[in-house]
Amino acid sequence: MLKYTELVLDHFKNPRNLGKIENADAEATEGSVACGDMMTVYLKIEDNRIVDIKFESYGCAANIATASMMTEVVKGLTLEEAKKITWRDIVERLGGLPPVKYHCSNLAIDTLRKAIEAYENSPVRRR
Amino acid sequence: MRVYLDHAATTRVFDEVAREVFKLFTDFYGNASSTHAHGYEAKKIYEEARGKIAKHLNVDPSEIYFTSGGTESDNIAICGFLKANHPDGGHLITTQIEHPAVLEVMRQLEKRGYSVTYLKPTPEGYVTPDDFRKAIKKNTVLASIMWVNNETGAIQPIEEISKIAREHGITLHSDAVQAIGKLKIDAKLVDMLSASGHKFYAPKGCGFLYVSKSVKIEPIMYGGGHEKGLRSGTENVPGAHGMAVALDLIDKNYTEWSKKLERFKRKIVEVIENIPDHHINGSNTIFSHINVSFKGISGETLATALDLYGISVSMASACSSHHSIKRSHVLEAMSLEEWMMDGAIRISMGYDNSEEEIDFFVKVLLEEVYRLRKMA
Repeated sequence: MLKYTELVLDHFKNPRNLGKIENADAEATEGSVACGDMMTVYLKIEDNRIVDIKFESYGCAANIATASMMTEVVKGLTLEEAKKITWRDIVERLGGLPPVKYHCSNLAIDTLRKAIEAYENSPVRRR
Repeated sequence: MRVYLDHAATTRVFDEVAREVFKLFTDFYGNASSTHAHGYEAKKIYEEARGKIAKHLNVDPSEIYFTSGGTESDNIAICGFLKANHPDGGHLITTQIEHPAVLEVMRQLEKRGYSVTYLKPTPEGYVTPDDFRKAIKKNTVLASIMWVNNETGAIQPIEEISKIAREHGITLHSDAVQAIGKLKIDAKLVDMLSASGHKFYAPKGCGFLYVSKSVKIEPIMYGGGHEKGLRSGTENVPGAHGMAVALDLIDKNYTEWSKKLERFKRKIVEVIENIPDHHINGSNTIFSHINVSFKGISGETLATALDLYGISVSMASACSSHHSIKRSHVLEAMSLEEWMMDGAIRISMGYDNSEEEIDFFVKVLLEEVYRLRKMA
């Protein structure tokens, strides 16, 4: 096993906000070309604020942990604030990641941004 | 509880072996090449070890050469044979599923003008005698076919390949690193055979090479002329003795221990077979190995999850860099589906595993497979 921090392992073993949101306002699925990992993010949005977020993941421990941490970080933020969160913020909040796993945090952020984009471009939102 | 299920990577030295080896560090520490009493007593132990190992392999003691391990044994066998007999080139046959200690040697030899055929295994993980026969050319001089694959545990058809090689006058080498100590093998089926001590409960840094008397071979490394000039370097008496003691112990307990591992394997496989969407990679596998994939879970994830419970297994594929996943060359060669390659873990049991450990492992495995599947 790669040298993961206790916090990474905790998020891997007990992922926060895991699952699916029925009737989500937006969702996105992204895959990492780097290693075949996949992630889906579901958003519930009220007044431009992320009131609920859930994820599903196929991937390594780092993939699960970064997704889990990302959901914790962005829950309650406005869409603008959430868009500013970077993969580095997630890595720092986790107390670090092996460099070979940085792309996992990228995947978490990319999927979040894609979900926000989907919401912003959705007919519901444009009304 | 800590459960070690990665015996294909290395084994814990048997207590009795450790005690015996320790005596050589402290009491019988002479240089086996020295011509005084300290040297003679070390030499006596060293040669007794050679005799015991030869007996286990059903060969003559003069055909056993001590080395530093599997990699060196493979290198000496292949390069030493070619240097002595075919220095200017020729055709070689090996498999796509060899350990890098053979594959990398072959790749180097290709650069030096030799041509190499890499036999593709079946999806079950073994090469066929028929494919071996078809690969033979007029100028085929050497074949190197492993005895047991390290990743899947698939036993290769050495007996049939040996017959074909003999018919065509092709020298046959086998990397038997995963077979020695597990299978009762007749080394005479091949002309050269490699083994590594740490794979059968002896220390790391020791191994041996069997070279049939009929094979002409030259050293690839020069020095003080130890091991009849084939492998110079101060004799590793503790290593040689450790290997002999380990093989003696295995031989003495073989029936009981091998039956135990067969039973453990059945127990694990029964549990696996009740989990939907799994694939056992490789068939006709040795009793110690189970290579399995569960759809929807990467091998890296499962291995990490098990590790958190103190269970050590090996993963076949993992992210090796920002841009790629490093897949097992063995599973790739078997042309398995992507999920089978990416989801594979290797469970390799040893004689020192207990029933309690296996029970704990299957319980955790079941829980984690279902937990991780819920995430996807």
